[in-house]
Amino acid sequence: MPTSLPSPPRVEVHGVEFTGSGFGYLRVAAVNLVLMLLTLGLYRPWARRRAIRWFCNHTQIAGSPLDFVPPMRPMVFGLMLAGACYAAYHVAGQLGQQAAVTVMLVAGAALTPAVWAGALRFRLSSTRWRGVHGRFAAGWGEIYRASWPVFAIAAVWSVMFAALGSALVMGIGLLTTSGPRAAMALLGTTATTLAAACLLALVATVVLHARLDYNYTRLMFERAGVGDETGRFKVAFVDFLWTGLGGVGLGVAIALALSVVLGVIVSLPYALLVGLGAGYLVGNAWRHARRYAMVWNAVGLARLVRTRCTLSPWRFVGLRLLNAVLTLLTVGLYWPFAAIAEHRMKVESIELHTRGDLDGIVGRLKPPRGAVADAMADAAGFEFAA
Amino acid sequence: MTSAPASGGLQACWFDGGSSRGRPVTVIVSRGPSGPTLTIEAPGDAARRVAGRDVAWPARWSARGGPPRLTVGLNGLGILEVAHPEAWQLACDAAGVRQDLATRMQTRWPTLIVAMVVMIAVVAAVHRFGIPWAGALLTRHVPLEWELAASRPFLDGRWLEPSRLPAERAAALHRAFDGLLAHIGQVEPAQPGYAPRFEMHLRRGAGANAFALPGGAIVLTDELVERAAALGLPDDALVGVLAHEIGHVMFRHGTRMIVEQGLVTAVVALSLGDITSLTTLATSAIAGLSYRRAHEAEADCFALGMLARAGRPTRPMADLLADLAARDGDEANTWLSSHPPTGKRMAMLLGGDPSRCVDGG
Repeated sequence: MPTSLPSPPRVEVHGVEFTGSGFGYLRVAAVNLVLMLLTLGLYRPWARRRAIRWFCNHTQIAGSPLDFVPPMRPMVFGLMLAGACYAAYHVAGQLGQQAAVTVMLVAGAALTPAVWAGALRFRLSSTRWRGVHGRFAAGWGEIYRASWPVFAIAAVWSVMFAALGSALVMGIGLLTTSGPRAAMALLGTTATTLAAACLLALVATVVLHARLDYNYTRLMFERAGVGDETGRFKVAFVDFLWTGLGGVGLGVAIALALSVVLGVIVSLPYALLVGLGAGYLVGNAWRHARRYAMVWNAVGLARLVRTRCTLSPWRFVGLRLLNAVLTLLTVGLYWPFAAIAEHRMKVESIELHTRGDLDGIVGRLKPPRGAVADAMADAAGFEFAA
Repeated sequence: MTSAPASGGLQACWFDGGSSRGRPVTVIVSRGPSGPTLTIEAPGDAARRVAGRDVAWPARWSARGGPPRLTVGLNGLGILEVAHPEAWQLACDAAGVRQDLATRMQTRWPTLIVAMVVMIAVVAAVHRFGIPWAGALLTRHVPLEWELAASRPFLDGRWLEPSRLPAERAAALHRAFDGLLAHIGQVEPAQPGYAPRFEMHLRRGAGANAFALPGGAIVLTDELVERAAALGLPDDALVGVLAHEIGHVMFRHGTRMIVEQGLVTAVVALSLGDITSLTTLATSAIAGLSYRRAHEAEADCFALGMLARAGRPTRPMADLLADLAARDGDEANTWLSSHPPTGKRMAMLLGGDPSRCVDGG
């Protein structure tokens, strides 16, 4: 007797909607600026909370808004700590305490991965959807292992500068002992090798940077979660690499083509300037949008949610070019409208495909952690891309 | 779903914080004896009352409406999702929910405009009085030894060459400097008990210039001595320049500049850091330059008093300044300059009242 198989849960599709406007964002930014200047900058943690909360409140996922509810006390403490670090660095630098400056720089660089992770932990655990908090649960070992490309980039350039430096010292040595002819001969034999090494180091930097981006993005999605559900991430590094190289290639091609075409009309420096600017703008926008679509087409939440992203890289490039022109024409006043238009295009291109309904996400109330790292990350000026 | 603020109840969805499954509830915002209160009525459950202080009232982003759904935090009881923001805002206003200053600025134009006016006044007052006051206060805690240590690298020959003036000319200048120092005891320095170690150093290689280093070292370049000689000016011109530099040392302008620039950069970076780092740099640099101009005017004033006490004329120094300004070309924009306009400085040196300059604050 055939038993009836349980019917597979229905797949539902939910949209993401962004209801904020450029004008609304401008008003939030204006209020923040006035209050920060009135309090000589002490309002900054509250201003930060207001700005992030505004974005969250205007983002609705499956019909429910996000909320951002960080505890204020550790955020204020974090700001004070970041301020004290800055003051110590400033005073040591002004008074010529080179040893102290070096120690602070090295410590700062070594702590950067921890600060990144702490800030992400804080951001996610302070974000709430239908009463359930997000979380980020990567361990320190994972975070530092994922950071290896940073140290590899530093190593590549240390070797590169050492090689350039020793070639320079040898050249000057020959110039003083054997005269300009010997120095020129040395230059002839080493110039090609050094140029090739420089090019190789540049390519290695692009590849390593893509690897770092990949490692951090993967860690971000695989170790993030909502309630008890854990994220998933199914992108291969090759895709990240091609996107990165594609962006650089596109930028270079546009810069060259535009410089050549414009070079006929205007003088070469202007043609190069416009060409490089446009190449950077287009290449960067294309890479950004392509990467965004790639990531959001390959992430999800356990077996419950898969996301789909319909962002078209070329439409995004068009929007960014339009925004650049409008921002230039309005001497920068268009920036909130530009930022919101881009944000809306990105966020609203995502849809959630859920197996069953979204009511089954179980969360536990946990206080947000990592506010000090958040203040440090704010001071260092990094934002989360995805 | 419909809301009915008239009858006191609003439709909402309650999430208990344990899962993303919501329950339909009715919420009533009412004015209680100890402030606004929320009452949550769920079908088949006893009504729950939540005191206003346990409610995380949602941020209000515009006077009417805002995002289509609001979340209300219930401190341990989860959250409420309210679908009718306008009805919610009316109910909150009726129940006397207080709005903080940021919200009032966000939702009411008059409040924002008044706050902007107050902000401009505060920024101007902090710039004019606050930062110089805090700079002077903090500078009092910087030991003389730190100043001397920071000045040493500028004197060890890395940047400047030794002087090539004839020995007797150098000796005459040193005598003039020592003679000038005799007239210093009659004024109060910026800080009681501050005893800088005055030394004059002759150097070559920085153009026609003179500068004071924190702690008391004053550098006079051969080029400036030669320039004054070429103009046929008496040594009173150089003595005036040295008096100006002694003023910088006495008022600890070098150290105060570092402290003031640090304070300005900190405030500007905190307040404007979100815009661009270029804005931050430009703003703090322009503010820093205005303090430098104030320091220069203070040192000119000090020199005026000192020359008067020493019985020396001020005309030669004014002529030297005019010549240097004519050669360099005066900066077109005052606010991008490190010194006050030369015309103003000359007028002060030639016609200023030294009795109004002696204490320097």
